[in-house]
Amino acid sequence: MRKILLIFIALLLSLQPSHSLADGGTSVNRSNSITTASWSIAIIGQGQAPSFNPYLLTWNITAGTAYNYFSYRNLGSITLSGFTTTISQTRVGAGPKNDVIFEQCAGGSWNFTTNACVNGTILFVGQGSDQSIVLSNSTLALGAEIQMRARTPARSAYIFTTLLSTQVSRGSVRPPLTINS
Amino acid sequence: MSIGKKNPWRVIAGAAIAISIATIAGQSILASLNATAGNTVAQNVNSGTLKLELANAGNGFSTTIANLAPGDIVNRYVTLTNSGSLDGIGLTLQATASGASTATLLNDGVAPSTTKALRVTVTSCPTVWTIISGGCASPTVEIDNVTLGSLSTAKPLSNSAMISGAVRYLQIKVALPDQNETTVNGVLPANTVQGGSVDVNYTFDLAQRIATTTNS
Repeated sequence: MRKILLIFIALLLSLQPSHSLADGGTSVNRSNSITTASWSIAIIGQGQAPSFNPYLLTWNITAGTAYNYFSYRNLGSITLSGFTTTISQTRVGAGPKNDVIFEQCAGGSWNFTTNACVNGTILFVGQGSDQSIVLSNSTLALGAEIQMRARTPARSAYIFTTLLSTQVSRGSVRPPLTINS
Repeated sequence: MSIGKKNPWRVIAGAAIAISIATIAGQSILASLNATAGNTVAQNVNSGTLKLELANAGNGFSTTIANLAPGDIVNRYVTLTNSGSLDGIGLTLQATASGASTATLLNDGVAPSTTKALRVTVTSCPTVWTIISGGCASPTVEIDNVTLGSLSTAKPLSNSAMISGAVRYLQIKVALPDQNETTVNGVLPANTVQGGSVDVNYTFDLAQRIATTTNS
């Protein structure tokens, strides 16, 4: 009899509801998305894709002036108001390093055959062998490019390379905004 | 009549009486007096409702907050209404990220990382906000500058009670703290806040008022 009673009590307890009290509440929800900007610039050779590595200019000058052409491209999501290029030179043999002159064809494009700036104005950007050059007045919209020319005069027979590396920081994009909408 | 002899009719009568009593008792038929009283007009008993409604004021939550740069602040505005008949208490806000959300936008970086995550501030105004300027004569901060990730656990608003019919005019401020990063040769730094995205589901929750016992 006692066993039967215990079994009955156990069955009764197993049938109790998991929530003995009702929860009174209500909710409402909405969703939206948030994205952040990116600032990024890369040097691209003629007809090449970005390598996301420092860009190497190779020089082998016997006479006259040697030219190299490349572009800066804005790969980010926001307009840039300037950026920095660090240049460093490695040469074969002894002797002083050769300055490289960097120029921009503003409003036009370079003719790679005649080395002329067609329908544009040549702007001096910087000159040196090992230093940082700041392009502070070059506004670059998303996906836009600045076509650059690097040139160096011959001084005897020079074989050397110039390595270019770009840096762009938060200060090169627009100031902070407060938007109410 | 002779002495010593029983009257047979007395036996029969006694038996009849006994059988009658037994029959009556067995059928439980007892006569009694009854009286009733009640209301002549039916009493109405009804239950209350608890209902929270959310409407965008301006863009509210309806459009993406896009291309935030460090230091940017975006203020969105919503109107929350207790449109039920019951008072509510314990108003909370929860914000949960879904999908492939960028971790650096949810929580601050751990050293040596110095990234700062998105911050959320909820401010209420007793009247409708002037959206174009973000103006309010007497604003009250309800949730103060918390990381988006910390809102994965519901946080109570400082004024968490909403009586029936109450309307709360809320400003939801989303900010990306000012911070500097340098991109080299087109490559974003590790653990960056740049180029990130997060899909957020905002939930306002209101509990019913405490149950009461009324004597009247």
